Amino acid sequence: MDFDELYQNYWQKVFRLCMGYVNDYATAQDLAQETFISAWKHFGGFRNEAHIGTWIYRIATNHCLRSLERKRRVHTTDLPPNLLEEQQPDTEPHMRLLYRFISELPEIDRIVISLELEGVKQAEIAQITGLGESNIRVKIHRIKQRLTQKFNEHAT
Amino acid sequence: MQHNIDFASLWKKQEVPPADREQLLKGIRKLRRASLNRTLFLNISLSATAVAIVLIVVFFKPQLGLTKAGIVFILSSFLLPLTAANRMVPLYRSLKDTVSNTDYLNTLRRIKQREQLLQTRTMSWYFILLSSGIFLYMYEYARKMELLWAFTAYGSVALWIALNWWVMRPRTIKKNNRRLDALLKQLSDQDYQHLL
Repeated sequence: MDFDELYQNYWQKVFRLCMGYVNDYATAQDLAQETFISAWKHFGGFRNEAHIGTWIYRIATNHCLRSLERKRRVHTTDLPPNLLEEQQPDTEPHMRLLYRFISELPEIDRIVISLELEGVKQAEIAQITGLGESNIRVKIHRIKQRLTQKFNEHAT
Repeated sequence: MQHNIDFASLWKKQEVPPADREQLLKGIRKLRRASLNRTLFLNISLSATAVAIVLIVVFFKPQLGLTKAGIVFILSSFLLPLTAANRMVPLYRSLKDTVSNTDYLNTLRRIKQREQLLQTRTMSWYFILLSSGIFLYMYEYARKMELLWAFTAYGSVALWIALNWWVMRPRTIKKNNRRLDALLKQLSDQDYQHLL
């Protein structure tokens, strides 16, 4: 796979992953772009020791984690909810709720559930995060329960 | 009450901006320029400081050696944070973003610890140099003042330095570390560790 192919194949997935982390359309776009700039920098050193997906997701998630340090910090919870919703195209309200609830989870949990919803295998999620596979299984179960609970609370 | 929400299909409904190859190339070019700019900035700052020292001595013609020493101390203190930042560059280069999140955060923690140590040392030397520089510089002018005014001048400078040292400095360090510490705590949580 050449770099262009990687960019075309993974752009959408990486964007959604970043969106799950920050729940801000423009910031997610920046983070996804930065991920591919970093991937371009390291692409020559990629030796197929990992699946290309695992490799690019590692870069993306580490960029998300690192974004907390930057000056242009992301404080999704500090902004009024209506402002957040206006920043992205008006689509399915349940979808917007899902992204909002995910971005309110602890950082590592956001990454785990975003990768799970993107269809990444649990063994691969373990490789990306560096957590044990059984831990990932338990976490996914708990996070889904938590999200369902949030949806229910929101409905009542 | 909903029990079986199809999160995966909701997730995929998120609208995605089109892949912008031009923007990506722009970012890559910016990255190439960034490292060159950093070296350039350091060299310009070093030369400007040297020129400033010479100009002040030539134009203000201080009479006492103490005043000249004060000027050198003050200007040298301005360079310290710059050189410290420069020493951090190779450390951050060792942070590879292709490793797992756990390894990444552990490396980041080690870098942060070294950065903190370096910052503490730099800040200490910065304040020592700056304070002694100001005190030395002021002497030539303070000795021409009445005793009360000289005490007031020295006292207010000492107060300003003390405020920065005991209030502003610890506050800044604490603020910088708060979020990273919270994140690292998530990874070292007891709840996680027994499952690893």
